[in-house]
Amino acid sequence: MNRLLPIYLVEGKAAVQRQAQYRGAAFISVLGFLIEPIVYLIVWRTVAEQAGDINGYGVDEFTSYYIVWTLVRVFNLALAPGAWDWWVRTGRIANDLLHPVNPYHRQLAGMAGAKVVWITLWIPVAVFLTVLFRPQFSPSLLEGTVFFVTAWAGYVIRFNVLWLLGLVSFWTTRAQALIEVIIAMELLLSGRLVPMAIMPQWVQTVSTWMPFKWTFEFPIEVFIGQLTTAEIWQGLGMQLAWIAITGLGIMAVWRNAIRKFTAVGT
Amino acid sequence: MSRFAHSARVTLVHWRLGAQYEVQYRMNFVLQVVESAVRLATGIIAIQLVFGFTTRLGGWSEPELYTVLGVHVLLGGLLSTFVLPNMFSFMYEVREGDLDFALIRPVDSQMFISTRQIGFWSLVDVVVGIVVLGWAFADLADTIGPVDLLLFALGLICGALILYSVWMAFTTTSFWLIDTDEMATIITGLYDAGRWPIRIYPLWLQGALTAVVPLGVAITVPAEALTDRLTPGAMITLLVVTVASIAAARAYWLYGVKNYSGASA
Repeated sequence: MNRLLPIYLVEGKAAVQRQAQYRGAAFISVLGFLIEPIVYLIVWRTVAEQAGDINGYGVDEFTSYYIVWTLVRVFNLALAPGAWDWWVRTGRIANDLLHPVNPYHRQLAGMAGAKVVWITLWIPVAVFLTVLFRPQFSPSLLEGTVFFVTAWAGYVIRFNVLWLLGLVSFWTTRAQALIEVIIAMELLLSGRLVPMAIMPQWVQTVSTWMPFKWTFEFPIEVFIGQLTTAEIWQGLGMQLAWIAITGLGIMAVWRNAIRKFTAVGT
Repeated sequence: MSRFAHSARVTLVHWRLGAQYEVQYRMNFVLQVVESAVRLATGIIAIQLVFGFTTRLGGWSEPELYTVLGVHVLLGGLLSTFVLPNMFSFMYEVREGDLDFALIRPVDSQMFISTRQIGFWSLVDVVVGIVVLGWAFADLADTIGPVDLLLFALGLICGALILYSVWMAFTTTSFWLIDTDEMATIITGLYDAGRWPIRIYPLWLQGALTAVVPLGVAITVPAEALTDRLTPGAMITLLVVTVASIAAARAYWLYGVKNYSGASA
């Protein structure tokens, strides 16, 4: 860990500097990622205006949920698994394998550093959404602090899940269908599409035992005060468990994946 | 042979060659079916969730919303089949300095860079879109007349032309901005916003999806023709937006080519 900490700091700092150079592109990127929750927000506000309270979610709760969603989305952005296909197929990964540090650490730190810029660029968007939709929630300092921890933990879980998925590219360059299935599962089981309280009970039960909910809904509900203290502790435990499971998975799969790889060319 | 006939012939040759190339990879068909099925399932689940709690969304019933979903999938399939492969090739060529090879051909440059490739298996999405529309049609048949079908077909053609023009204009930006991935994210996001009728959105977003990046109107207006809510004003707006989009994309392309200095070695 002592050996990795300086590497994480350097990679993170370099990513901040890189992203700060391309502020315009980063802002457009953040805007692009925010269209999805704005659409969900408008759809579900419309439903709640007609149907009233839906399993604990009315107009105010949906508004708060999807506005915090936008921040969580910026937090949990991770390397797209589709990038691996190009990376492996063109042999570009060979460059990264020459480094003395596993690309996992460099990418995890790089994406984390980039978030410092993205979150800064998210602030004007959040102000715009707040003025427009007027969410009704006031998190305490403690909720804000716990949110910060859970959002970062959610990022690590999501990064690990997508990294594992990306490793499939070492065996096949046609992983897109599998990626689509996993992204659809995430959409339905994470609270990304709707809060899990809107889903049927059996879907909620399944989502508890999958990693996705702990990357999206859990941090959001911590921030908007939908959870009891016991539920927060339980969620933190689940996040730790998923970080461990996916981390061990990556260690096991990476060793085998890298043995499959042969690079040729200049 | 007229210039148009010559261009059309070159386009057909490209499409035929592209299709022949792609059908060699039959496994891609299976994978495309899986991808399309997953995307369709999530679209249907989203609609079913909404209608689990209400009977109408902004005045639209469940079968009516399936028309919007059907148009969204169908136009998305046309986009992935005929437009996107060409647009991504073009962006790559500008970056790599290979565009000169396309610009020196004795055909219209915009037509050439727009028709060289075809994502043949993405036609699966076109079929899926038609099936979804057929499914919705079964529930709405009583209210749909021949005029509605004609307006729907016209709306669909306009929608496809708008989609092409928006992507063409966006891609032309590659002449000045090398990294356009971020803008692609916005356009994809706005297209996905069209999965719901734009009339449910606040006025500022309706305006953006009609006048700024007219992807919403390209999807909603054809669906309105099938759901007995198309007004003459909406149809005229669609026609005006279509003509304006094509003209703007063409002018922007010509301006880009005129100012492009080439980058090849």
